[in-house]
Amino acid sequence: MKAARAKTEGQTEVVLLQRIAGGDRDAFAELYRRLQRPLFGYLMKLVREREMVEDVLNETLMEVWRQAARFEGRSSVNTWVFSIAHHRAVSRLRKRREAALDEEQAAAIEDEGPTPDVRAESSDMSRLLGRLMEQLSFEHREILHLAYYQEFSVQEIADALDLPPNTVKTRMFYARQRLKVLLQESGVEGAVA
Amino acid sequence: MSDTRKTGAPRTPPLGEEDVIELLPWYATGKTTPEEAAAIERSLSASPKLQAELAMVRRERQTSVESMQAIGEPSPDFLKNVMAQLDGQRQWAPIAREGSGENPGLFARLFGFASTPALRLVAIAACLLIVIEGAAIVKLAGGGGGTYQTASAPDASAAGPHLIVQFQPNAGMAAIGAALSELDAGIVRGPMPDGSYVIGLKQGADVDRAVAALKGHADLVAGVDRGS
Repeated sequence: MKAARAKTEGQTEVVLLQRIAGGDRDAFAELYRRLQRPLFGYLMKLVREREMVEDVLNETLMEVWRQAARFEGRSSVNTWVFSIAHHRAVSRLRKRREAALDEEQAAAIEDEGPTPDVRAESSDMSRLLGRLMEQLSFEHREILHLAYYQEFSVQEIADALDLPPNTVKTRMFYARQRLKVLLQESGVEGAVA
Repeated sequence: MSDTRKTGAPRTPPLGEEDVIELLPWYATGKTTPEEAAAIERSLSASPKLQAELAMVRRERQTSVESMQAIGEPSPDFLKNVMAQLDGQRQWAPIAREGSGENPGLFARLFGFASTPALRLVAIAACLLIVIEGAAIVKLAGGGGGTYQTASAPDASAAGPHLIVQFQPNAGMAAIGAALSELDAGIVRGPMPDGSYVIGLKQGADVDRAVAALKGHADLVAGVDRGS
């Protein structure tokens, strides 16, 4: 049932994109309404600053308008738009030299993080996990978000990020491993398998 | 999308413990194939370690979903502002289209063999060149008509300065498209015998800035030279 609904929505989005290619503004607004929440959430996870997120979202939408006629249907419209958003976010962060927000920087953030007292307050595992997920690198945050929240398949993530499917699985594995290490460092026993 | 495309695996080989652990995040969201799901469930039933791993995956997923509740959405005027910008935006024409129908178009058939983005780019660029030259011949002859819509080269880009660009072998189409689009540039010729492409900038474009911008995409661009 869920798969059938997704297929129908996918077909609707292809039709919308075809109309956008013909200059149809109503179709553009409709596609925006369909994708705005997942796209905005995705970019907030990656870029984090609201102002920059809106800039990247704006650039992504302009790109969709310009390139709509060149969509070739090799992936879903959803994946195609996320791919544009991904590249725009990476490009923008590179310009701001924030692409270097790797785990070394995250470690610096971590130093300001869970003190023993805070750990006690963070006994709720979900809250602690949420904090630790925010300390992951750009790539690791991105893959967790796409798999868990956007519910993209391995192939859809591969299409969106221009990666081989095996790299997607490996990246997810290492993202989760890193999360386990952070959990262990936060005092959660047995986090690392 | 067929089931076999869900994880990119054409068939499901026997799954070891590490394979199962790798697939658990997609099992938890129902994005594995039925064969993978069955293999995972067999492994889960026999392994407390994998059961604990799945519980962890589900907790991570729940946290990921909960963390999005406070994210919000774009500001109320965002769409209005975006719509106001559409007037100044040029929409690129499709490279080529064969008449509509159930059968894949000529380009789809031609590019079906191109298994990597770089190969597809080569194929598209080569065909684009042929179509542009063909269109020019038709124009010179004063003729027209036929089945195909003429490929639309970026006229404004073709009229401006040119750069010779060598892309990285594994550069993806979406990434190349995004990088060129940032410069309002397009491929006007290629691939050349050395594998490079002629990139057209729009008239009056700042060439130094464009070269610097392309060199900034080191993951996509292996080299940039000034053309004519």
